[in-house]
Amino acid sequence: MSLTRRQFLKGSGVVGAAAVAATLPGCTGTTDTNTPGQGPRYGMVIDLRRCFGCHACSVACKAEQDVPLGYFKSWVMVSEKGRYPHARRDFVPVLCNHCDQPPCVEVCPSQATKQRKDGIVTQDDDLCIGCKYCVQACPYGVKYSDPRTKTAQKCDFCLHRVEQGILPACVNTCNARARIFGDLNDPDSAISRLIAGNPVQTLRPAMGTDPRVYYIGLDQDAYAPIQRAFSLSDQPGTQGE
Amino acid sequence: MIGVITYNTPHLIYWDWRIAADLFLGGIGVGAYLIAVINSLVYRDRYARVSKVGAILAPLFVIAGLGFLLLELGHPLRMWRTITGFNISSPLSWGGLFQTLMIIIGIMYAYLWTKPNAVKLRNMVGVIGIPIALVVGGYHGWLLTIIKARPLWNTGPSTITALLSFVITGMAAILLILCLLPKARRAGVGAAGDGGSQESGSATWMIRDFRHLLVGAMIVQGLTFFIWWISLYYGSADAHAALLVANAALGPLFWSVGIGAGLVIPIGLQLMAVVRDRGRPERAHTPLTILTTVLILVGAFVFRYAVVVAGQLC
Repeated sequence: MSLTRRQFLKGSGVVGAAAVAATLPGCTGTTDTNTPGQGPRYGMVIDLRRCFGCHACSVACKAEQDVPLGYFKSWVMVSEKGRYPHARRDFVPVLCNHCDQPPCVEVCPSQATKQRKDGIVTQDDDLCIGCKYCVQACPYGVKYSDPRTKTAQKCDFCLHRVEQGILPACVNTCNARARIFGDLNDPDSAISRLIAGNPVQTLRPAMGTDPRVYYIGLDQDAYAPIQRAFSLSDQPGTQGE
Repeated sequence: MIGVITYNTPHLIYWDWRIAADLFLGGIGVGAYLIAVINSLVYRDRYARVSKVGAILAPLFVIAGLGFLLLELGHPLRMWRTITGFNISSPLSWGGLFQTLMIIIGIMYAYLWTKPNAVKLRNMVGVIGIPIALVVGGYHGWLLTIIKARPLWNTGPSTITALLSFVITGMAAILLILCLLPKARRAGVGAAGDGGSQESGSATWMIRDFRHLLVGAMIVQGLTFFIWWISLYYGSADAHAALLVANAALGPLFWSVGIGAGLVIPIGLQLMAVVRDRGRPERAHTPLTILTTVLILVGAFVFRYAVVVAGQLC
């Protein structure tokens, strides 16, 4: 063989360095979201004191987003607890939490799942390879693989509407006005004022994802079934108390 | 006690047996590669057949594993996007890159075994491939371990178990192939100490000496599995719940085939053979070795399958 050990190692090193250099720029789908003053940071508050479980948000979402039968981007979990005459029903609408530390973005191997500066986590169908890793990584179980497109799908706060200055479909349709969408960086926005004036909670705070969908009036017992479905140990995180 | 009933959307299982096959076959390939290279470096050409079989098996199994991964993808033809859209924080990005490198190195290494004059280059390629093989092997555990949302996977011991599993299955695959080779080509398998040449005695050596290594590795794997189980059973409420759900859904299959047939029985059979041969020339026990290796391989696949599917239940 004419190739010496030195030449071989040198060649391997150059190829390896080139490969690493080629992958470094833009090599992660995560981004720092806007801080106050930099631009909007979108989020949602779900006021459970107002929700009466009509499922209009689920239906509006399916219609707006063309979600296939049997799949949901946003839905209402229902729990019943207690014994007559002290039985009660609770409704907990769930959707993508557009976390500040989104695990779905972290694990996506092709950067099809990305986070915008305004905090909205998006899914690019053309880039998705259909590995479903993001579906596994989501602690809230709000991503699914569409059987028609064979790509992962999720709520994007109806980005096409938000970019036109229109509210997301679920917010727009909510009869009880239990869903409040807006800019968390704007202290004068309705959502910011609501968060400042009420104790709010997030789902599964122990996951460290820093969700940007907040709940008001989330009953510990009503929340327990969610924990049983996804997890058992988390206690709802509290903010603004 | 207050009863709580929940109405939720259906829970779907997205990763099926194809992911288990990817992890299983890729693991065999990596294990076979490591054994081939280490055997070649330590014993030089003394047991060349072991390394040859390992070198051939390695790229074939890694390719087969990658094939099952592609089958599982919604858009396998877009796999190249994992390179152009490389995500530094995604294990799957790294896994795709390193599995590709592993295939290239594996093919080079196998090819160099056909060149008797390229021993130095072959060893050099082999050594370069060792860290790559370790990364690919580790990735098979790491892929699942980093997912915080799945408490069954999200434990340290699960990665160690996966790492050990690929060494054991790689070893078992080489042993099985050596035992199944035509008798003339595997001269020496029948009985150790039969005066065969060193080369012809390679399979005997594998069975006689590697048996001890195999049993040792399986015992260690059993211990790491036990630590994994303990960490789940006495871990967080999440982990405990995940274990209960996993047991309820796939417990019988997992315990009977994955652990019983794949770990306990092979250890027992091999220890029995060692004890029976005590004080006299050790025999190879070819049929017993075939049975053991088949049990190990079947058990390892079932183990992976059960872990992959059960992990998604909670």
